[in-house]
Amino acid sequence: MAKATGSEILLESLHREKVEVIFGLPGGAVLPLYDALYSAGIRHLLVRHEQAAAFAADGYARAKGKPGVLLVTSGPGATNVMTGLTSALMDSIPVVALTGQVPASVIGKDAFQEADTVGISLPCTKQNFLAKSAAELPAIIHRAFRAAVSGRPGPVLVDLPKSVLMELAEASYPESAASEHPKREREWQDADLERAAEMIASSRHAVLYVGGGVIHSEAWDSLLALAELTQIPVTTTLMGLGAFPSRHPLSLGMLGMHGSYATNMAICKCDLLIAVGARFDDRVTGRINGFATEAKKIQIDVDPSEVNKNVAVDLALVGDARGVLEALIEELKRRAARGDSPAHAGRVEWLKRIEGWRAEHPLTYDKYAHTVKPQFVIETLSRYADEDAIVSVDVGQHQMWAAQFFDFYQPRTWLSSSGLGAMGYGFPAAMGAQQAFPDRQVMAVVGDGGFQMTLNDLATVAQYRIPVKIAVINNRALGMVRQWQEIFFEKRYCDIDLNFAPDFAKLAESYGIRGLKVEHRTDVVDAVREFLGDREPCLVDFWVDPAENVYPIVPPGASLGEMVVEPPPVLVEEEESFDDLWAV
Amino acid sequence: MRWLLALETEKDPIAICRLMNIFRRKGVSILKLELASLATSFALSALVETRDSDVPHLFHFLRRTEGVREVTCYRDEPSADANGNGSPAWAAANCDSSRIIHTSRTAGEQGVIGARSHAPVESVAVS
Repeated sequence: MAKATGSEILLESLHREKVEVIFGLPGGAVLPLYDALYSAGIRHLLVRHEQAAAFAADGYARAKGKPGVLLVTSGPGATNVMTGLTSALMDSIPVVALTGQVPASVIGKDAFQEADTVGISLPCTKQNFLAKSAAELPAIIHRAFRAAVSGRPGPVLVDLPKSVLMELAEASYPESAASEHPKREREWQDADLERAAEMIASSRHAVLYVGGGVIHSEAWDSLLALAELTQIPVTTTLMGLGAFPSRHPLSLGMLGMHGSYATNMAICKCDLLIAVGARFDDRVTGRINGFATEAKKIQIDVDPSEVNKNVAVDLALVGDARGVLEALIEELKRRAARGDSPAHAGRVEWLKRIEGWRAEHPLTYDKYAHTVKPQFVIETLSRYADEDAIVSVDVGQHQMWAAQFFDFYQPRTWLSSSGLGAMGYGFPAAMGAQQAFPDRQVMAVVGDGGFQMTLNDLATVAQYRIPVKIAVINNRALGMVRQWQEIFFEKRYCDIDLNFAPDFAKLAESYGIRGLKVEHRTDVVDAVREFLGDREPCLVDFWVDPAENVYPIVPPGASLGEMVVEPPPVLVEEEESFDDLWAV
Repeated sequence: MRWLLALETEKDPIAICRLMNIFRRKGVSILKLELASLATSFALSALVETRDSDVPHLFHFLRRTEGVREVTCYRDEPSADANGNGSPAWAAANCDSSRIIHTSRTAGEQGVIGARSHAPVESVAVS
């Protein structure tokens, strides 16, 4: 067998794992690898900060359902990806990070651009490796990809000493790609399934509480089938958006701290809560001892350590969500054939009660304000976006408005750093998603605060003519922080002023990207039509009302039932409602 | 609650470092610790103290941690020696399956699954 360098062996291993694109930034320690990449036939996207490489790999993975791969150099290159890896860990996203390292002979001697990457990344990754020889690279890459996609997905880091990349060795490769057919875990027993079916059949006011696990498991069709079979309404977490169609009659939208009134009331009053691929995060539960107190709880999760971690449940089915839901549907059909239908009359009354809550306090905003309302911008973007558009958001108020007012028709169309809440995520993640689907509409909806953290990668968009659309919801502030200071700190505003910022439209133009600015409510619709009307990169800077707050809000320490629903009504300032502007 | 933890990892210091970090972050109080290097693995035995409610969570968290091969949690029943001194019970616990609270070992291997432990993981390949 002919010998090859570690770099060549590594790239061949990536080929065998069906890697199509790498997001990266070269440096000294990875020069041998970049030299091999020159003719390797794997696309590489040069970013302008390694953090963008990590966010882009994450965005690629969320959109595509395959591991995203990033490549950075040693030392500061590696440390710059830790935020992105931590975000991927919190949200269970399969990412493989390849980091350069100094030659093996000087590891631990404080060499130039040396960092203890394995040590630093231990708490940020699902697994990490330090390659010690070129010959072991195929096995390491195979294990890395398998770890990234199996069970509960997550980020994996492979640290690559320069000496290993240059070493000559004979390589023996695994037979198949690790990530192609991940095993679906099952620990639940048939008796557990029968009990779950019994609990569903005997419930009158059930809710399906769905998280990102449904998307990881590709269980959205099974979820739809279960909901329609049982007529149980579905609420999703921030991670679960897109798992259930927004416009479906059984859709409740998002629950939790900024969930709708109807959804949170449904959680408070339900008698059975079925959690599927969701982890009872504090943003969802509010005060734990006040969460769904009238309900029995079923938890379906592939990770056994999530069961009873935050909320005690009555029944747990540990295993892959799709496998559980498919089996549950079959069990319920068997029961229905015996005359025990899961969709009984009680469900109709429950759905009517939920509709009543919805009518009482719908998600809304001041439709007659003279300012540009951010919710109107989001609704307009949703109205004119393609049905399969991929939306990537940053972190803050705009993120919550997008979750509340954007309609989702398919899974893997919503990208959000949900668990970590890493600002700066939205724009580079959109770049990554566009690499996954070059022909689909991809939109970054970002706040002015988060955008300023990673906007240097406008250069990447310009260099590769990535047709990503960037909508900046610009309130000239760290809006969510301002809101909390207003509501919980008696308006003692401290360090939230972002008025000192560039003109984002002109900044985009300076990169050769079309830039638009919208300051008046009557310009929003035309700007969005132009913005989304072609397949060229474009940025629109929407100057929105800086005083707008996200409602409802569940205050810290409060239960979902103690949410603050909406602010007092304001005087009518315009004759035309925002709704009328769509008719123009 | 004091209990005994016995586990094996792949023979890589990264796995042990990851474990120690997990103990730190999860608030596990380590009262006694033994680490051994075996032919193809590292073996860790520890007398630890946690809240009662944390035991199952820790067991499941550890057993699904990459690099960890086997995890067993035992009730701590310290035995006195001839001088009336208490001694770590894990040497005896490894042979005493009646003390098992949770284990990831399958029936047929050394020891049996305790009444409160989960069934072993069954993986179904899906094409």
